[in-house]
Amino acid sequence: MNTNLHWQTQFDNSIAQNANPNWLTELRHQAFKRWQTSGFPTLRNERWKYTELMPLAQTEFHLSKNTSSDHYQDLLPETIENSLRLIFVDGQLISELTSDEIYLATLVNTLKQNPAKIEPYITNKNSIDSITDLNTALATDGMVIFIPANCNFTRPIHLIYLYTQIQNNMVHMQNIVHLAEGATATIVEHHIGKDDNRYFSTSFNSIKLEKNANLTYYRWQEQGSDAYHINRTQLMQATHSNTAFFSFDLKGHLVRNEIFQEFIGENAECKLTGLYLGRGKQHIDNYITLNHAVPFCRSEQLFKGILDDRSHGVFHGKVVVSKDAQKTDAQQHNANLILSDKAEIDTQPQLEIYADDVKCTHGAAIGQLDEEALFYLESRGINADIAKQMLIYGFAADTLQHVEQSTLHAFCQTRIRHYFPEMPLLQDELK
Amino acid sequence: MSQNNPSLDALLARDYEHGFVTDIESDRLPNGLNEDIIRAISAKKNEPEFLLQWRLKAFHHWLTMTEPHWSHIYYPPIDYQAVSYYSAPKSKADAPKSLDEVDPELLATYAKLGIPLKEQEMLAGVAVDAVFDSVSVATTFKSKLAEKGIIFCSFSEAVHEYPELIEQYLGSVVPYTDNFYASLNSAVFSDGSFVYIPKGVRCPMELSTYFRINAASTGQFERTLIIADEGSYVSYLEGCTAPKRDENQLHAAVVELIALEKATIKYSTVQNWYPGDKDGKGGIYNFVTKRGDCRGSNSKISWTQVETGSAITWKYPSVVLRGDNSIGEFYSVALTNNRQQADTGTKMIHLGKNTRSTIISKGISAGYGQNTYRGLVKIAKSAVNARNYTQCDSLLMSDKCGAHTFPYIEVKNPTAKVEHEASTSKISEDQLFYLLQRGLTTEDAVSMIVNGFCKQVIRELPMEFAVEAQKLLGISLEGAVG
Amino acid sequence: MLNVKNLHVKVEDKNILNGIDLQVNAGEVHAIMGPNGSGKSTLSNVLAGRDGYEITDGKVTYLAQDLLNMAPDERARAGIFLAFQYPVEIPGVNNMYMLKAAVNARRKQQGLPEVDAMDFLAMVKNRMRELKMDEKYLSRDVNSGFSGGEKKRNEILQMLMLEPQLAILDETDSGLDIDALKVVAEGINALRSPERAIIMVTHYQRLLDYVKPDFVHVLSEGRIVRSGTAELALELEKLGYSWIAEEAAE
Repeated sequence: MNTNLHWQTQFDNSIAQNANPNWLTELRHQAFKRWQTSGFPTLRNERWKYTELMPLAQTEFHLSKNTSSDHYQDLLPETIENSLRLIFVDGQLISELTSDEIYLATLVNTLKQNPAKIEPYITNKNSIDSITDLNTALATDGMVIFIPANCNFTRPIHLIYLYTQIQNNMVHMQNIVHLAEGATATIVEHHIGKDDNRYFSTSFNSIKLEKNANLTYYRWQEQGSDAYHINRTQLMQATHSNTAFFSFDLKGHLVRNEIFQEFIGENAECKLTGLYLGRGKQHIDNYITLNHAVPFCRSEQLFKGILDDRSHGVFHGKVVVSKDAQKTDAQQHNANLILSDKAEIDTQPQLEIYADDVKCTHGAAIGQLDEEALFYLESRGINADIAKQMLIYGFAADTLQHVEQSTLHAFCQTRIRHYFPEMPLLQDELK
Repeated sequence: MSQNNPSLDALLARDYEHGFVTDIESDRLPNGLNEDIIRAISAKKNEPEFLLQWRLKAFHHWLTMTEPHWSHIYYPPIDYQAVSYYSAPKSKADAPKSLDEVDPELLATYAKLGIPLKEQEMLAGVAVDAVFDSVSVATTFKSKLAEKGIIFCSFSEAVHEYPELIEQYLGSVVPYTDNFYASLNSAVFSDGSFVYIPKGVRCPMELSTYFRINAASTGQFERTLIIADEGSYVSYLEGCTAPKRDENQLHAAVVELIALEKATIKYSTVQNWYPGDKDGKGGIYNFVTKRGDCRGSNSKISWTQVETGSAITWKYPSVVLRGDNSIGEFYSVALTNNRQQADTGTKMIHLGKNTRSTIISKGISAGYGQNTYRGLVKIAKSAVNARNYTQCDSLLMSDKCGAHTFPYIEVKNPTAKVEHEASTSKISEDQLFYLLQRGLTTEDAVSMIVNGFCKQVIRELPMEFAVEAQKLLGISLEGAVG
Repeated sequence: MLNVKNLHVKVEDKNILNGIDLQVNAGEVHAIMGPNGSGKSTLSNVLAGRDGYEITDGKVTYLAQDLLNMAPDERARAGIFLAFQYPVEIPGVNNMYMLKAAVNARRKQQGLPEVDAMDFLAMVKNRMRELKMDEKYLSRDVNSGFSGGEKKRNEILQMLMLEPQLAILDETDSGLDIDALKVVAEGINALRSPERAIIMVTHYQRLLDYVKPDFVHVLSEGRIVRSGTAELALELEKLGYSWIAEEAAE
């Protein structure tokens, strides 16, 4: 079948099945048209220099149909204490939840009941490349979360996206998060998929923090072993707002995580912490851009990578400081552990600075386990393999030191521990 | 917010000192580029057939290429047909045999540039090969070097005297297909320098070339080839100047270095091409491909550059670390002021075992200058135990300038240790006040701080070059040397 | 030599100095004491010409010149020396090179010939011996990798080399152990002469045990609330600063 024709059929079906407002249908048509002309980005595109999407372009993916909801139970992660838990299976929410304090609804329902609320988020999506167009054309559902002004919403909102699909399915999602002035929230976006099925998913987030808002965001990516997954988060921060963003890429076959952060108001702060764990033939690409468009903002980035087997890690972290963004304080660090002679890392920590009264630093390091630390552990009677695991786990768990909420800290630790099964339990985890 | 100090501005606004035009009749080819021009260049130089064929292959390849635009520099499109690809001072027809035969006005030009050949011959112990526009004018010290078997001559001369060396090594580091500007250079290069250091010989003096673009709307396309045979050592210096002209001039050079087993090549550049005026009018477009090949084990190639000139600088002196235990180094100071733009850095390609590289880059941006460090550190699968340390620091001196750092690090071997550190900050008010309180003028205080900032690089330069570099940076010599 | 009249200074819209009057004559040593936040360092910095202070009222004359109109480096060349409370590190700039440039800038101002490198080195080494400084500091960068005490000694070394007319020592005694304090005090005493004046800004009296001041002034909330002789410092040592606030409140 002709590839274009295949995509056209997928698109037509999606349009037919979704009664969208006219503006959205129009927008989707335009995006699809652009997508049809450009297709998937290639390695010649500087933004995709190290990530090959050819296999995606060569597969005919089908939009997933309704799923029998039995197959997902064993994929479910641990419960986060006191959390609001929303579960999507193959792109569909399986049980509605509402809250009196905040607005919480699916994209589908919001489009039916209150489309004006989210129209600007959908129309103002930053169209950087054809992947955005693909998502705009095909994403029909997702979550919409609005935290009202001065609401301190203490329950973590756990959005769980499960992928149980049959071979060559695809799911495209779109989430919208808005924190009004002075609002506080914790959101956990969690993708978990079944192994051994090839599927393709994109998940786009538009997040906006108004003045004095506080967001703690966790992004967990534990897709199936044959999954292709592209995550793109657009994060806008107004005056005095504060974001702590954690990003964990632990599985998936080919994963691209993009974060486009922008300070639009002064005195705001953003802390990004990332961990990527590459095993088997995994390819994990983090593409991070921080825009200091206004003065007096602070940003901090720490991304750590562990690459084993034949995995390939990519890190691209750019800090842009605009002409008037004086007194910017931006720090960035990328550290990588390479554990196998077939593993590979490409890293590009970048600074682009147009203001003069700034303090910016970046660093990248690539290395191995500290021989001395290893020897120390061994001399204390610890088996060499376990000592190694301990050090690797320690390198990874370091990313959790900024996780302040204790319930989430416990959750994160447990979750990461799944990937280090030989590790003995640590003393503080025994209680 | 950041208000500029007036005397700091005055310091930065200092005029280009080398902007004089030498009035010499020159023998030049009509503007434009086609096969006939290439044949004409080759014929004028009476070149062997292999070289003509190489040039033509390069030209045909160049025609298939497009100008690269990935760098962080902006300039109006260049009309490659409006450039004259060959310009020689006329007296070259009967080439000078010694300095005495060289046009006195030419020699006066060099004197103005601060390189009095004759004096240097007697005093400085620096052998100079001076390239004026496109041809090599005089090479000093040739006889003394010849005693040790060292060859140091113009590229054209080497083509006639040592064609087998040229045929063996030309394009072996930078092939004619390498990139747009290197292909162009391969097709039209008119002269340059050639150095061969025989086995086990330590070159007793610094070898030096001065490049100068004089004629209007000519391009300069020189080519340098340095071969250090097993166990040899050479330190090579390159200086560049050009007169003030309103239009932009094109400079697309290629430098190839080959270090065989246990050989060391140290290559230092002070680049002071005309940068254009304060509004960005005129100035040299400097698109240069420089690459060294550590072909033998335990070899070492070290690049040091101080880039203060040119409207546009596009150059990435690189090292291919092929031999086991080989060492690559890159020390750079790049200063952009007014409307200057620089996109410069290095590539360290680690192929051999236990290879080590060091990158120290200091960028200074003032006025509306845009300064970009772009560097690649590549650790191939074969490069067991490779080490790289990179440090990039940027100093900002105005609120209109920009400083950018774009490193690329690619690692395919688990035994590699790679470290990259970068920082960007403005000149410190506290440091400035401290020095002012000790009675130094703003100008001296700024010079001192900038000099301190660049010290790690300046101290890598040979003495006489360090002096010139510091003068160029508007700073006085400060314990960095010796 | 120095005459401060009704000096008012603001920093970021906050009044720090509220009318300082101070007369310092040649040959005198003045101690300015006061609790933290009383404005001591502000006074030192304003006299040296640091940016970021807004002078809202008052006048300062130094050797019959309007000091407040002079650039910081002019003041320095005219013989004002500030020993910094926190000397800044200047990486890449050699300590001796900087000092030689400073000495020659001052000599040029005085119409004296520049000192040559050999003479300079001999002078510096002499002074360093007096201050019990290791010669390794000759080759270090300005204040880089110096401990707190070493930085203070380095300040005194610079002072002795520059032979200022008016030396202002901003908390030079802080962070020094007793041996270092004695050495520094000897250095200051060596500078005392009928042509020179010294202002010591300090929180504690202990430096004054070794350098006896002619006058002591107590600074509180941006004003000199008491002036007296060396006895006043001893009184402060006994009673602390709290009585000042009480007295001011009356």
